[in-house]
Amino acid sequence: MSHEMMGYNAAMGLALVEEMRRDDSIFILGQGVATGGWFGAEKGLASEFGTDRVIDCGISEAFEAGLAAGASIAGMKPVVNMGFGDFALIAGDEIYHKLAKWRYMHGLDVPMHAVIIFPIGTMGGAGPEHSSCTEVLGMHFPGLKVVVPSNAEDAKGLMKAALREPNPVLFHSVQGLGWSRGDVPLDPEFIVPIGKAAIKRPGTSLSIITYGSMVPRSLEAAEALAGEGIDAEVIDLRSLVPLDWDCVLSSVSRTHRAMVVHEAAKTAGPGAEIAAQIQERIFFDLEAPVMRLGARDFPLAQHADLEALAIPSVDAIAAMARELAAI
Amino acid sequence: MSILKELKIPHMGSVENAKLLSWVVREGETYADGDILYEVETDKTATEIEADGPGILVRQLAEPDAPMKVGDLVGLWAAAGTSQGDIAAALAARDSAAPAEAGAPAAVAADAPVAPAAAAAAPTEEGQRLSPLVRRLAAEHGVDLTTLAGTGPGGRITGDDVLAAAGKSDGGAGAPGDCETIAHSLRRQTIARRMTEAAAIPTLTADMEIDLGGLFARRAADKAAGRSISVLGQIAHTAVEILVEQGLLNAHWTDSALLRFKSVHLGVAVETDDGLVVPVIRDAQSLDAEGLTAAIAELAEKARSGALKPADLEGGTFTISNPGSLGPTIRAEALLNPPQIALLGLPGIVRAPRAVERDGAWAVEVRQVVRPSLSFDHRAVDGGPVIAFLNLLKERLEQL
Repeated sequence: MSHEMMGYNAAMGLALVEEMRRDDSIFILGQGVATGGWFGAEKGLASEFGTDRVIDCGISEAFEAGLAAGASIAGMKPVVNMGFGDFALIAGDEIYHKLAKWRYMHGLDVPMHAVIIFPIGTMGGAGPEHSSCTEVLGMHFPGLKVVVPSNAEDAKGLMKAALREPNPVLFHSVQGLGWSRGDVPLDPEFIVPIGKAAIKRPGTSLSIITYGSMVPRSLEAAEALAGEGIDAEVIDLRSLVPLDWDCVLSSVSRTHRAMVVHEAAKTAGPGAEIAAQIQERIFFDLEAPVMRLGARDFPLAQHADLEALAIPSVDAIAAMARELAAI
Repeated sequence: MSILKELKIPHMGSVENAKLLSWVVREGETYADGDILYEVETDKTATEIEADGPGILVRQLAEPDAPMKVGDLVGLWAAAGTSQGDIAAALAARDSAAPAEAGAPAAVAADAPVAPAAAAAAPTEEGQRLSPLVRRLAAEHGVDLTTLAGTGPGGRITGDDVLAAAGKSDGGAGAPGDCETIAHSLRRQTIARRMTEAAAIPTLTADMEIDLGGLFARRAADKAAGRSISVLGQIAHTAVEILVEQGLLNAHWTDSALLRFKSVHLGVAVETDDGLVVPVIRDAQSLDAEGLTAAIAELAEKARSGALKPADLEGGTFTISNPGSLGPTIRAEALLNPPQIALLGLPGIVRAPRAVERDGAWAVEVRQVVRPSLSFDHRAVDGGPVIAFLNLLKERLEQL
């Protein structure tokens, strides 16, 4: 099957088109989706599928998510694009209670197909209320699946998996990677399974466990470290729920040193859970404490330069890896 | 300002890492300008650090074998003649002003041994800090940790050390049994890094056979005249002459430009107990064959006795490697010594049958020959000048 070079958002859009062609019960709603969406992922959807299946909404996140919960329990397959993940918190009750819990409250008898597109992270000065990384909330409320693609190929493959998943999926698209490009398989059966991490760079000295926007940065740091004799393994988690513990734990059991890197704030971020589980489960494989690198615990600045200071840079990742290797 | 001054590992050319081997001056001892304070092992060689003025060594802050870098703090000193009372008062003031940095263990006194970078892993007074992995492996394999020498950061015992002691490697099944663990010296680490760099350079090697009959005949005459010229000295001298005349191979490769040098700073590889070093003879073009013979002998002796200074190992523009002195006689191909672009390898001299023209007829004669190999960085130079170099080398050495 052939491949095509395309952007991350366009790859998500391609998955939507392919699945909407395949499955009539899929429909999408959100602000601007009928005119291409905030970031272009839905470009062309309305002209192909019409405004019955591509529904433009006003500013109404709570209603959109509530509609998704109701439609999914009734057998439809709704997709909601929240535009900015920050605003999805307005729909917190519908997402973290209704969508997360109803399937369990109804004895798992009914599937609940629903995908909430949850754009996260910084994009160069969008400001504190448009740049949050809220994926940890999806980890904290059982009942949801949580994915964060780090590249265009995974954006397509994970969206395909999300659209075929009988449980609600929080699909965190990474705003900072929205226009990053990559080679994307055109095979309509190409799927990246939810819950499978990818070892992006094998290594022996330490494991950098990361996802989303920090994958390219960690890989760049790993190349710099290689010149210093530190051979870092870089794991792209791709899914946070379920999290590929087999991959993480077997990597750390080999390298004996681990650090978690994410753009989300460090305190009580996903790294806290990952670090805790590593030490609970394989403490006696560790040569060193599990380290964490996340955004500083500030509301992010609107100024792009100040914003960049708050989130992990390639240099900061390399510096922490050096520190870890020296323990 | 405190009367206590900081003693730091001095800048030594391109040296970065320096392991303190031992203190020569004791705490409280007065030293004079030029006295040896302590010894360090650097990436290049072991060397003695001299005082650059008189003083009193107040505190030794670095422990032997701690990995350190140039510029790291190793001790405190005070001006010669400072009274014991003043020093004690200054130390007390320093201790009480210990910085209470967040996260720093409060119980560590300011003048406790400071191991830079790897402080968390440095041996403590209660003994080594052991990672969970080390504790598990030691229990599983019944390894007595007190008998192990650590190879990890700050000399810490690592899981690999325990497995090595248990005769196992992390590789699991099929790993070789008993083995001796030899921690890499800084020099060995440097060699490893530099050879890895060199192996990434697109390198080719050209060979030449040279009849040394003339050279040996002349050497006998020189000896009779009381001049001492070694075969290596003569070949090196002729090679240097050609390097200067030809002006192509005496150069450094950098990413942006080729740097061709007028002077030849000749590196000569010397085998030592702690691995290969390449001391440099500066301005080798200003020495005659006899002078070069003496210079090579002198540097080789310094290398073997460990008396080389970092400066002796820097700035080479061309290298001669002479494995022939140890045995191999067919070829002496070598990895380059980057950023240098060429290296002449000399295998041993052998007696070999050669076709020789005598009075218009060809005959086979047994001759003494050497087959030098010239390895070159093909990014910087093509085969033509290299063959031309070897042709000239052959011509001149055969016509001595």
